[in-house]
Amino acid sequence: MIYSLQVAWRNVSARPIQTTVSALVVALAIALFVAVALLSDALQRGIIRASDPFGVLVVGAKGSAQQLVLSTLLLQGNPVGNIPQHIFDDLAADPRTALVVPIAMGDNVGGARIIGTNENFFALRPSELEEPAFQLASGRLFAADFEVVLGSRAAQGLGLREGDQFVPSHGVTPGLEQDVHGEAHTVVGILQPSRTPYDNAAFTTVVSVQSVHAEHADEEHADEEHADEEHTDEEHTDEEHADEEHADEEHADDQITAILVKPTGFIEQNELWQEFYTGTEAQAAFPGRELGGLFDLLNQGQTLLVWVGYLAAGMAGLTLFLAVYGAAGARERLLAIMRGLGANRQVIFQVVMFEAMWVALLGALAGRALGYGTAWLITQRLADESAIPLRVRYLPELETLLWLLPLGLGLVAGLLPAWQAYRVNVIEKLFPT
Amino acid sequence: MMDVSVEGLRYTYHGSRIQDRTVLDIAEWTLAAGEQVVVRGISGSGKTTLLNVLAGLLPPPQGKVVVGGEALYALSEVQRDRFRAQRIGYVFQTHLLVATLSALENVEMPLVFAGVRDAQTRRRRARAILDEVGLAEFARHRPVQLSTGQRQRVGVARALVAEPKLILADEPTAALDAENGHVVMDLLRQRARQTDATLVVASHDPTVEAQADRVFDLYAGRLTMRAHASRPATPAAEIAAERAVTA
Repeated sequence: MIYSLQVAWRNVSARPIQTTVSALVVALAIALFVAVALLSDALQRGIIRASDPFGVLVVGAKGSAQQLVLSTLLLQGNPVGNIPQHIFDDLAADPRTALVVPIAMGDNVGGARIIGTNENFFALRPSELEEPAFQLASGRLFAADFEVVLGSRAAQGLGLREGDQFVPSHGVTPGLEQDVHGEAHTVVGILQPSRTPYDNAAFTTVVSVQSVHAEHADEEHADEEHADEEHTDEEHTDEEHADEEHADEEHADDQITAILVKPTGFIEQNELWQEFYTGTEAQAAFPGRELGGLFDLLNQGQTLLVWVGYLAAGMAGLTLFLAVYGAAGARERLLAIMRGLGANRQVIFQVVMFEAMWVALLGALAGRALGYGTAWLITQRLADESAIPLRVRYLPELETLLWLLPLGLGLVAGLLPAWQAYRVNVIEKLFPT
Repeated sequence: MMDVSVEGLRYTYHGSRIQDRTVLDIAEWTLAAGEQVVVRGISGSGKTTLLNVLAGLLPPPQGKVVVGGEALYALSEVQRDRFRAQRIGYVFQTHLLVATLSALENVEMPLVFAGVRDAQTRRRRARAILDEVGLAEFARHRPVQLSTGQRQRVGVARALVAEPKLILADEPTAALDAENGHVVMDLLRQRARQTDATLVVASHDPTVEAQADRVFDLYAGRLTMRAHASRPATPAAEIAAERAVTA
């Protein structure tokens, strides 16, 4: 058998282009399986890790609960809307809550979101037994308005240190220079890395964020009044719509974006959720449930891609078959020589099967490397863009598939050519008339 | 020691577009163990067919072939393959080397099929025989890197490496110049003598006949022994000649 393997390897390596192309097609199919599985795993673990410290209830404006959780915990997408400040005050005074953290989404500084919150934010921890997730690396927490504590990544990206000042840009993405406006903020502390998207954020008081928003509202309201004088009646409807959109901002000075709540117990948690569910001002969402829904979506996408992978594997099998089958002419004479020298038909069958297996094995190894490499590159890019900590890890549960699939492909692709070789007529091939 | 006997052998080529042609029609033919014979005949006379039948590669529709006491075609195909690998060495007309393997690996191949499991032993024996045919320094060369004469010598080494008791050579000098032809034939004869192997050479090269114990003409399927061979017959050949019945 070892000799058959050697002969098969010689045959395969004697056709470098055919072998490389076939192995590459197998590799692409394998890489698809590997990359999809690794990315899905990295995303799910990254999201769970990133959302770990934030408690069990997120309170925010009515609308999509999933959007509320994603925008609050992972800083992905725009917030659903704002809610009145008094909801926070009520919850803070509610005996059923252990920890209540306000979140007021502000503008940005160099792409780092400015978050209005209070000292409770820095007490958030994944569990009672663990250290707080957001701890100072240097400096102190903010004590006054317009004082800022920077997340580790924001501090590194912006090159700011304690004592430095900056003026925020409008919106949530890095703005043009003319968008820079408002009160100067002073950096008073820098956090240790938390491996959450909040590493790329700047923390200040809720009032700091609210006052900047109030300024925007005033400026935009003045612009709209000026525009009213010039606009025709037909455009009036659009302006009314715009007025509605800015209604929140006009009252931004007493609004926040979301509230993170750690209830005192399971019963209290359900009571609070029920109250918000039946109320009209806000909603409460369970991050676990909403992220579970997101994972379901991810899994659906993964399932789809896995089927695409099987399709690719089928095509790889066909390519492999063509490569092995196509080499029959060159191979038959060799196999006939072997038969002439005393090789039995089983040996001949083995040689051809091993040829297919070798190519499949090369494809499997290359596909594994390609899959891990691709997943690593994509997660690096996604992590840079989203600030969600995404890491590719070795998945032992993939191994069975990664070995069985290519070997199965090799087996199926090699079967017919091997059978034909098994039946080769030695005399015809060695002594053609 | 391995004698060869053929009895009632008849082989006919059939075809839809060609007339049936009987190339072998041998009532009885016996070779003594260690005998060296040449079978002459024009192209297409059936020499290669005879060698293929003797090698166990071509089951005849009629007749019995006994090699070393084994009725070749009474064996199963797997047994016959093993028998061929262990007892029969075949030098093909065109060297028929495996292009993807080195000279050494080509020579090593029959030992694998003969059941020599130890790779070191196979290598050692293959190197020794390559050395014997004067190609030790070309062991790593692929067939394409060798001259025609060298390839044929590798083919001879491959046929001899398993120390067969029956050596079949099909026009071994046909593609060679006179000098290389002599080298190849000398190798075959010497080795056959050393190992007491029976040597059957199919050839129409007059220089090949000169050293044979007996020479047979193959014509219209029948083997006819020539009146005498130029070389003094070996005792084995004399005994065989007495028993030989040519049809």
